[in-house]
Amino acid sequence: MIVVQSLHKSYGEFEAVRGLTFHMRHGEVFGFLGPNGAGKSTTMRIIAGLIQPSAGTVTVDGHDLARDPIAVKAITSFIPDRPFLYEKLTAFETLELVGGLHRLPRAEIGTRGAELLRRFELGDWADALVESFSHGMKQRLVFAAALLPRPRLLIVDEPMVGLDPRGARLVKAVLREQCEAGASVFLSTHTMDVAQEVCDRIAILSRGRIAALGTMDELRAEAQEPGSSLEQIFLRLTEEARTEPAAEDAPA
Amino acid sequence: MSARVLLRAKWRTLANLRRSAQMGPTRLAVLVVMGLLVWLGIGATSLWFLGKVVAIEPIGVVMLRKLVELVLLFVLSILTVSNLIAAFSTFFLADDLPALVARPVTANALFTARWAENGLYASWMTVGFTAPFFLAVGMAMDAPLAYHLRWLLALPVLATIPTSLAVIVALLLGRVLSARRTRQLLVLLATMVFTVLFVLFRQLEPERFVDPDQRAPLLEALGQVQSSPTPWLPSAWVADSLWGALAPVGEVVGHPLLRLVTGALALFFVAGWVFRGTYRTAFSRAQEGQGRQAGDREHTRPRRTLEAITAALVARGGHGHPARALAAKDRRVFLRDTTQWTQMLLLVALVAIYVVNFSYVRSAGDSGIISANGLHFINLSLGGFVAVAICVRFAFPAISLEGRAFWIVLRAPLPMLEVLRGKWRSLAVPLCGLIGLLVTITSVWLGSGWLLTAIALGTVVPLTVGLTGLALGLGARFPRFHIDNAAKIATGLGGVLYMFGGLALLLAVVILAVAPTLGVVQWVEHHYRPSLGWVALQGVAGVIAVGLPLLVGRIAVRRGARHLEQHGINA
Repeated sequence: MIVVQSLHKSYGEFEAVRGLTFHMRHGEVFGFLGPNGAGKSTTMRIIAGLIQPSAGTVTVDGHDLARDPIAVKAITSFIPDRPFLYEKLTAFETLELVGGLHRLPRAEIGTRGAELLRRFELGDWADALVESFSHGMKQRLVFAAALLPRPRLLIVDEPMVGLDPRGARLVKAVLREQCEAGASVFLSTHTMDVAQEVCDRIAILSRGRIAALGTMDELRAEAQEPGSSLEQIFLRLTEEARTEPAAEDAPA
Repeated sequence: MSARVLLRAKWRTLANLRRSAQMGPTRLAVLVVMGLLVWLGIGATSLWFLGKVVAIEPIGVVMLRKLVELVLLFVLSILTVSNLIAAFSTFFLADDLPALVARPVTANALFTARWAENGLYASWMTVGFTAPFFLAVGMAMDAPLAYHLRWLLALPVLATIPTSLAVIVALLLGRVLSARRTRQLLVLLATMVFTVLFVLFRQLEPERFVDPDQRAPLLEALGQVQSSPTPWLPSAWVADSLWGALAPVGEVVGHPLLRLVTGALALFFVAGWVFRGTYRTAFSRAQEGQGRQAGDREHTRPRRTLEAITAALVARGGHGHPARALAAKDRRVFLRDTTQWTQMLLLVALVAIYVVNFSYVRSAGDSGIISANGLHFINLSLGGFVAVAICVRFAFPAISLEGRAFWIVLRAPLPMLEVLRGKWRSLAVPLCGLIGLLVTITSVWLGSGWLLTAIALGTVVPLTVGLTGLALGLGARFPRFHIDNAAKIATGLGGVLYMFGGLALLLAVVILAVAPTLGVVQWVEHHYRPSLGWVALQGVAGVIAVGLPLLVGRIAVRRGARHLEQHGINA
């Protein structure tokens, strides 16, 4: 579904992403983990078409992101870590906007939009301005808007931030449903339980590079910690990656 | 926590601009150099113009006095409008207010810090760029050092008066009406400002000095030097004080500078007193207006059920269309976002000044000082200037006002150029309507005739389209997504570049339009046919006058779109 090759992104002299290469299969939930500043959000924003890479290529479902970004955007939906929305629109108008941008039939926007608002427990708030919503309600509305055009790839950055346990359970269920329906999910999270529970494969990112990639069993093997939790593996691998440059810099 | 601590944080924010990604040292240096050039330009132009005025015997000095008074009144009006707009943001809507109000900050410290911030933010540009005019007055009159010391003291003190007044008005209205009713409030204020401006400018009657039929006898005119028609206004106190230092004719009654300083101090203390009495309640109301209102049914229309909205949309049928979806979003946001309505206040003030200026222009035409063709180009230039000014307030911030929600549009499967073109269309249509209407009305009022009116309209409409594109494109090239105040968005490097570019474009179009306009007038009205080569040259100039703004707008929009595609929300 996604093929990333030699991806680089620099902000001035700071290199946020340093030569990432990985691929993601169709229909899988791919976890993207890493400590703060590892380059997760930057990578996700590049794949979502929000920022351009400094070097490297990204292909989504066969479409080269640099050459045909519109085709990529048409089949993907992005859910950012912070739910910035047009505060002066109502929940339904937000869906109407997103549906319009994707050229969906109005009948579909209406019926599917209503269905999604009910699913995300926003049915009673359909005609209320977004400015009156709590953080969790906005996050749920972003999910509803993202699912409206039936994306083949869902890019989700920190989905659990600001959600109550009920909302978090709903989101986990929705992510699994998406995969069962044939879509793929590219997911970044700091919540190890969520990653362990919903992800088929996980990449652990550290300082702009992939420190490890594989299924839970493969990660355990790589970390040489059989039976350990994802949290233990994560801490072990990211700690190793953190000390690497010091070793590299040491005199021979 | 003292006011000094609060202000220091603001000062550090300003000082760190050179290190910020938004500004950076290069942009800051360009901005400073451009500012200096404008400052020197105003000074040089003022000196040239005032030299001409003073040389008109025997009434030149009297005209200078009136001119100083007019400029001061203009400064006072601009300061009042900008302070009023800023006061709502500074005292009720600023992002840092909840954190400050939640801290153990004394009322006096908070008031002093916000008052100073409001005054400095709303006044520095007006005061700074008026200063070269007063310097030029002194140079034209060969004034003593006392004159220069007086204007250097009087201008900042004058600026504090509208600040205090604006704070008092904002606090009282915020206390009585609640921030939710800001829209009605601003319409009320706009009407008030319009009325006051109009009455005051009419009282000065500037056209009397150029109309020989209405010009007052010399003795009467000299007598006016001693008495201002608005002696109760601070601008008149400053004018009296400055005139006292220049003192070529007439005597100054009382101590105008003392009046100014004591008046400013008194208003500052009254504003502080009003702040202590009203702020807690007014701020609380403003928070209720901004925050979450679960179960609140105060929104403009009754809440409809999901079934009803769905049925209405399904009944419309057809497909959603990106351009129409974005236009509908823009329309809804504009109508519901009260902070954007503050821009209307400036629009009203601009139109007021425009209309008032025309009585002056018309008098100049009636007295034969300016020919009908000359009036046409003045009309065109003033109309174009209003278009430049309106575009910087409405078209330039259009992309930045999308704010952090712009990721939704960036993520949409449509080219950014299409997004910008859609915005260009929806902005250009009403702006062309407004500017076209203004220019047509004033052209008819000036008695320019159908031909010149049609030419004026044919020139100003493509110019407005081009200016809208230029403002929108530069707004996309220099976006400020983190600022939600439309008035602040245009104060950066992009806004300054737009003003320079817009005025240069206006100048180019007016110059290019001279030959073809005169050619058409001579051909239609006098049946004069010049050589074929000359006609061809006029035709080319005409085509460029119409085509240049459209081309500039198109290039600006394309470049803006490309920049947004490359840099996204981090642009």
